[in-house]
Amino acid sequence: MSNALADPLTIADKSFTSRLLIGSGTYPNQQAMLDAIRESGAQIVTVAIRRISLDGGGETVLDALGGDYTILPNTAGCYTAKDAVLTAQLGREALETNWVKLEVIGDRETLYPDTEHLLTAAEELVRDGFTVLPYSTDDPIVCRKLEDVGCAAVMPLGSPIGSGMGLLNPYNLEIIRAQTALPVVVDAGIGTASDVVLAMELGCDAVMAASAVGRARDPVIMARAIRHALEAGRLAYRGGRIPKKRHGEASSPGRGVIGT
Amino acid sequence: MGDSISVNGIERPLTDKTVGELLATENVDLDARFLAVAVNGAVVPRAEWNAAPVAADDDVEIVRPAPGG
Amino acid sequence: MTGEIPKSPTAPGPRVAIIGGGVCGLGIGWRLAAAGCRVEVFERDKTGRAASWAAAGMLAARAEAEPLEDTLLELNLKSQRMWPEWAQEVEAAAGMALDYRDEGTLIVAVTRDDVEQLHFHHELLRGFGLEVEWLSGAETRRREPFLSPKTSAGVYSAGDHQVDNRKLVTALELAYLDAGGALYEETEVTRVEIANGAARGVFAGDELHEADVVVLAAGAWSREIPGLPASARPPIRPIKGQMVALQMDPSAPLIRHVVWVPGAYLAPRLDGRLIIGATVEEKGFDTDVTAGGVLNLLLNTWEALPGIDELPLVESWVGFRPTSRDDAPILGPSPVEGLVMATGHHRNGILLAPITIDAVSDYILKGRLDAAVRPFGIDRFRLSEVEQRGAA
Repeated sequence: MSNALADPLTIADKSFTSRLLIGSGTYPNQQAMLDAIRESGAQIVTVAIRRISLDGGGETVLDALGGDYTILPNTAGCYTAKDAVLTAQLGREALETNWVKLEVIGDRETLYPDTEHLLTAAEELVRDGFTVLPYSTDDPIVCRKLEDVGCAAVMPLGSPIGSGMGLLNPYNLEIIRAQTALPVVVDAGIGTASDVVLAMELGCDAVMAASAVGRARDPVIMARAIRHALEAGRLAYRGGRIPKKRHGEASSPGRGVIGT
Repeated sequence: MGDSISVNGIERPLTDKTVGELLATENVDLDARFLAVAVNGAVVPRAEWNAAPVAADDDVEIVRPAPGG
Repeated sequence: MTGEIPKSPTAPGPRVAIIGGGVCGLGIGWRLAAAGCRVEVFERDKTGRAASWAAAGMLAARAEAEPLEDTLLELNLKSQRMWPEWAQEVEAAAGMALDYRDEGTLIVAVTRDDVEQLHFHHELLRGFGLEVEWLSGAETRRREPFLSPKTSAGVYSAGDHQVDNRKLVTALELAYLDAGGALYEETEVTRVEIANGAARGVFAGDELHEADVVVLAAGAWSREIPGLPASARPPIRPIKGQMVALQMDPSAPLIRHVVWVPGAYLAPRLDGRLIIGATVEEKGFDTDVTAGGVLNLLLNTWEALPGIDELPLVESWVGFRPTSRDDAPILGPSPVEGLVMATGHHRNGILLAPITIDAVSDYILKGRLDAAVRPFGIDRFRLSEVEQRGAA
């Protein structure tokens, strides 16, 4: 990213030149995952924490990824604060990181976060020394409460997980951006590059993408598109868009036109 | 009926005295990276596996990272 | 790459030990034994009772095409074209039918989200240049009248057929034994014997079975065969799949095509069995059929084909797809001279049987590797940059 070094993403005590958090699931195969993640330029990769098979076989996703990424364990699949806290603690032990992407899901159909459990888990994990990145609704009040309990970022959804519907309420995201000092990471709902550009133009600091890349027709090409979208959108935000007006305003001088 | 223990949600007879023994019984490679164990909702750090006791009716979870969003 | 096949001056062909008595192992054994080689097949269980038995027998190169798998698609299509004639050859050798069915495959959408997903998939298939046909909901139901009235769209692939994979196992075993091959069931290979960089045979228990060529066709277990150097250990893991079978009335079956509904596929057999699969689980060699697994398969099927409600559930089982990093098979020579790969077929083992069996046996007999399988050597993983970093 041009100017990237001068414009890093900082979450807690870490800085990144890429503004993308990328998932490690949903790809057609493992090699496609490795290629797409590399192409995306992402430095933060999320993984789930799951029971091992007691019958052996297989390598972990981390053996495949190698040591080049900041691995962010998530609590995906947890429906209660209790399970999410234990999963975060297991992730910390397994991966030797105190970072966690906190997800507490409310129901299977919408995959919307359970805000009550999310706040409880966030508070407990912060007390336990975690750097908490909570996946939440795009509700400014919820985001403020998450900030109040000591989270390291807020991660409001654009639309439901895996829906690809983009940013359904950009106005809320703008409000969240304006009110918080924390990094704002748009999580969930990204469908294609323009959604990423919009998130960046709104001033959000980063984007989390999983299905948008892994389920694309060509995940590697889409990974590159997302990388460029982050750069374009971030630069557009910093460059500053012009005001929208109802009438035209010529961009060439009005005087000296021939034939007048 | 003998004592039993739950390992990753499956009930089985209790044959081991410590977490380390239980992992060995389950054929888990003790040196494998990225493993974590909890007993009754509390994480048992790797350094304590050989000493940490397991008892009847304990609930043991053995996890590792998996692909995910 | 090394892996030259030694020529034996006295015997008509090389002595061959095959690890794995599934479709690939038996098929390669059949071809080689028929060509006059002394062949021994070692199977840890009963022949063909792993993935070959668990499979659904779909020969679906087109309907199942996936993003970024263009090279694999070519191989799948080539093997698919070989199938009809190859089936006849197996049937003639074994003296039994394989119940090959060529009605084709229907992919069905029910909800609005399904239709969106089906459009996406249809475009992907068209982008690959595959001949598939978009159907309205009404047209889809005209072809399969018992589909739910809510069926809103379909895609038809005439070229995707099916075969009864269990009959294929039985037929290949018969053909292999008839050709004079030796079969060791419930016999685990305890070590591949390698000396001076060349395979010399396999140990079964304490006994060395000498061979000029060793074929690794052990499916999901291929990575765990003792004695292989790291460079010849295929990066294969088991991916668990749960399946069930319902019994239809064979004279009045609910469906005749292979049908993909959202979240399940259905393969109707000539004997009335309706095979429903399959979950996709990274759970190692876990053999449990679970409530959730079966629930999802049946619920997803029932949403699209409510008529299954009264059908008896006659069987449920678990199989392990032998899956490599890129979901493609590992075929041909290895860094160990005389050690030949025929493994890693993921969910395409039955589809890829003809090309695998013919190409690998040809290579062993003539030392020439069919150009179609050359991209699928184990060396593609060795050369992977990521792999090297992971090993460092």
